[in-house]
This record gives sequence, structure tokens and C-alpha cells, in this order.
Amino acid sequence: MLVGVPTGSIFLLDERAYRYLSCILADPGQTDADVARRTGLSGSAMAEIEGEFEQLIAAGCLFSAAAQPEEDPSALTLKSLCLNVAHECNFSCAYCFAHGGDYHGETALMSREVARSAIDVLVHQAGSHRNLEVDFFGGEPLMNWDVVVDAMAYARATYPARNWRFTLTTNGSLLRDDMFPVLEANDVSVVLSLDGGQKANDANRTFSNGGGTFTAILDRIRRFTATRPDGGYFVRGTYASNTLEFASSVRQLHELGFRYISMEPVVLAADSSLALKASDLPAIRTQYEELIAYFLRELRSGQGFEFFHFKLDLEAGPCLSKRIYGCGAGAEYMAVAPNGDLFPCHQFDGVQEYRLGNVLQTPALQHPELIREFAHANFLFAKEACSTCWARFYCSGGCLANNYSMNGTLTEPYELGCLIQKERIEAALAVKAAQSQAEEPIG
Amino acid sequence: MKHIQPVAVKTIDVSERAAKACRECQTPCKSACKTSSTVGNQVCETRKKPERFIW
Repeated sequence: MLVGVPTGSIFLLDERAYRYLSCILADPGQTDADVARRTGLSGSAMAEIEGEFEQLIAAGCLFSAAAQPEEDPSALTLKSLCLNVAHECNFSCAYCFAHGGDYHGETALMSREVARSAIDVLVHQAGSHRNLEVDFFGGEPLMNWDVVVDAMAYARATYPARNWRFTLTTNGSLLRDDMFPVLEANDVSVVLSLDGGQKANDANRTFSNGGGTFTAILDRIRRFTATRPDGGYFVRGTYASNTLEFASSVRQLHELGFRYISMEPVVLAADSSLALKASDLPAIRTQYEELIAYFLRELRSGQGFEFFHFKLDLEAGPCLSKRIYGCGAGAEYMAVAPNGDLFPCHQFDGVQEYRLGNVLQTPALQHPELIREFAHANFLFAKEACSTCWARFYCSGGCLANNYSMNGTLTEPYELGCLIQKERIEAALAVKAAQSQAEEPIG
Repeated sequence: MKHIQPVAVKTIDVSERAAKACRECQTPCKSACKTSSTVGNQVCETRKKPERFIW
């Protein structure tokens, strides 16, 4: 597979074209005779392949000049909030970045006043943005369901001209049937945490007494997802060093009847026993290969499902400007703690050096210098390692929180995270390539 | 072409319109990821098919 990075053009090479290009790129100054000798290609075959490459170069699809737009400090304005409505959780998952839900502080629930003020701040800061996003997160947000319901009603009633987009991330344990119509009426997209079958899930997702959570939540999650056969949810798993066989976990989730599935690598400090290591990469690659095979097999058999990281829309993907400003943390996207404190994102909740303000104060955002720092860190080309990476327009510079927690800086990418990210982008492109080459459309 | 098969060409919108991004599209961590930047998995708000839910 060959990717023209600046334009996002993707091609499949046959074995001879691959051999030819590899040889040329290894030593661009060599003679035709050298290339012929090293590749074993005849002169006519070389001319044919070279002609095809020249067509694509002339069309601007390959080896075009790399785009490197200027940084625009005003590109990002707040449009998205994560409301950590509960700094408390009824689970005690082994890999939780939020320290069991309390974010290394005291347990707390967000008040209606704080949630409403957060929405006011969002609207005030968002200027003319029409689409505004609010994610209900925690801890376990359903421990504070009444505030979730109130916040959605307040946003819609007070600011009806905005297009409100709500998401909720839950462990599923407190889901009740009477919540379903509310989630439905508010078009809430729901992320349900479940790591796979019982063994994979209960390896890390436990109650505080160490007992597994699988049997307690499966029926609730199934009851909810049954109300949404056409989407509006993702069952999202996490894989860690003790649950590396994530292809099997995805298959188990699919066999449990879920059609919208995501599986993310855990992010933990290297001294954690559950942290992924560089030595895990071969196994991770194997897992993606197994997952690709399973994914395509199920699609072909009519039992297809959606896997979040394979959702690359090659016809309607993000524009270049979106791709060069990363996740938006600290500038376009912020998190609100139960006491109203604002942080750059949910993973920064509680990091006092990056506390941006408080929604109950005026002005709410009290540290414009920090917002500028984050806006700059979001810019793809502010990260030296990203500026020449082939995957830069797919990951857009990676996760600032991961950079900070692993390297103590916003702009030095978390290297292992980059390597895993590239594995899964390659996997997604491989799926697209397979779909494009199929005699009959798949998927 | 015989040796090179296109999967997709010019998938990144570098047009003048794209340079003045509307930024009405989804924030990556509003998606199913939550722990990694997944901009490549997003869709353009003005080009995607209208959907009730964000995914």
C-alpha cells in the first residue's frame, strides 16, 4: 500500500511495482541498469511501472509538496465540554486513569448550578458555533442522573438556536429502562464500557471488592443497545497488557450481539503492571491482523459490524484545517470538575497547574496564557516529531494528555502511543483497500 | 493502470473552503475513543450524510 500523505491518496501496488519503488527510494541516484539488476525487472516492465507513477505524480496524487499551513492562534474557540458530573464510581477498574473516579481528590457530585453555569460558559465562549457538544462523564455519570437530565433540558430550553449534541459514557451498571426514553428524546450518543467477554472484562473491570462486573452489566447494556439497532452507541473496551488478545475480545462483543464496537489501548505509566510496552507491539500487530480478517469475514457474510478505528471516511473525512489542530484540548474542548473547575480535557481533571478557571466565577476562564499554550500545542507542526510522520493527517498530533502524563510536556508525543496509533491506521487503511478491491461491494 | 490500483485519491480537502474551516465537526474525544486523538475517524460536518446521532 502506498499513501500520498499530503493529499491522502491511497494506492495498492502489485509486487513488481512495490519492488521497483522500494529500490528507487533506497537509492534515488542509481542508474536504470542498477534498478533492473537489483529488482530483476525487465526494461519494458520498468518503463510500464514508471509510466504509471508518472501519471499519478502529474495528477498531483503522489510526491506532491507537503502542506505546512501557518499556525492561526485564533483557529480554536470553545465549543465542547466534558462535564464530569460524578467524581465517584461504583466500579474499581484496575487501569482507571481517573483513580477510581475521584481523580485523586474527594468524591463529589456536580450540582445543577455548576452544570447550568458550565452550559452558559460554553455558549458564551462559543461565539457563532452552531453545533455545541456536552459529554457527561465521570466517574460514573449515572450516579448523578438527575443533573444530567436537568443540564440537557436547561441547554435546550435556554439556548434553542444551538444544535446540542450530547454524549454519555457509562459503565452500564446503573442503566434503567426508564432512562432509555430520556436518552432517546435528547439524541444522546452513548458509550458503554465493556472490555469483551467475561474473562477479558473481569480481568480489569471489577467492583471494589474485586468481583467481576460482567454479569452485573451485560443484561442492562443489551437492553439499551436493543433499542438502537441502527447506532447511536458504541460498546467500548480497553485492552491492557493482561488482555492483549483484543481481536478475540472484539469478536466476543460482536457475538454478544453488539454492532458498534470500539477497542482502545490502555494508557498507563510504564511502571504499571498493566501498561503496554514496546515489546507488546508485535502481538498488537498480530491482533490487528486477526481483527481485520474477522471484520472482513463478517462483512462478507452479512453479519458486519462497525469498529470505530476502521471508520475512516475517505469521501467525507475532515478538512486539512481540522487535521492540523488535533483534539482541541484546552482551547476548543475543556472538562468541568464537580466544583466547577475547568481543565483542558477530562484526562487533565485535577492537574492544578493546568486549571483554567471555574464556571462559577467571572470571567470563567482566568488563564488565557494556558489556553494559548494549549492552542499552540494542538497545532500539528508545533510537535517536531509529527511534522514528518506519515500518519500526521490521521492522528493530528496525538493526545496532549498522554504526552503530558508520559513525557511531562504537551508537545513531545507519547512514542508508544504513536506506534500503536500507526498500527491501527494501517489496519484501517488495509480494510479500506480490501473493500475497494472486492469484486462485489462489502460493507 | 496495471500495477497500481487506486483505493482513494485526494481524500484530504485542501480547498479554499477547507482552509477557512467551519469547525462545526465533532471534537475527537466526544467520540468512542476518550484516550487518544482520532481526528482521522471524524467526518466533515458539511459533507457527511445527516444523521441523528453523532455516530
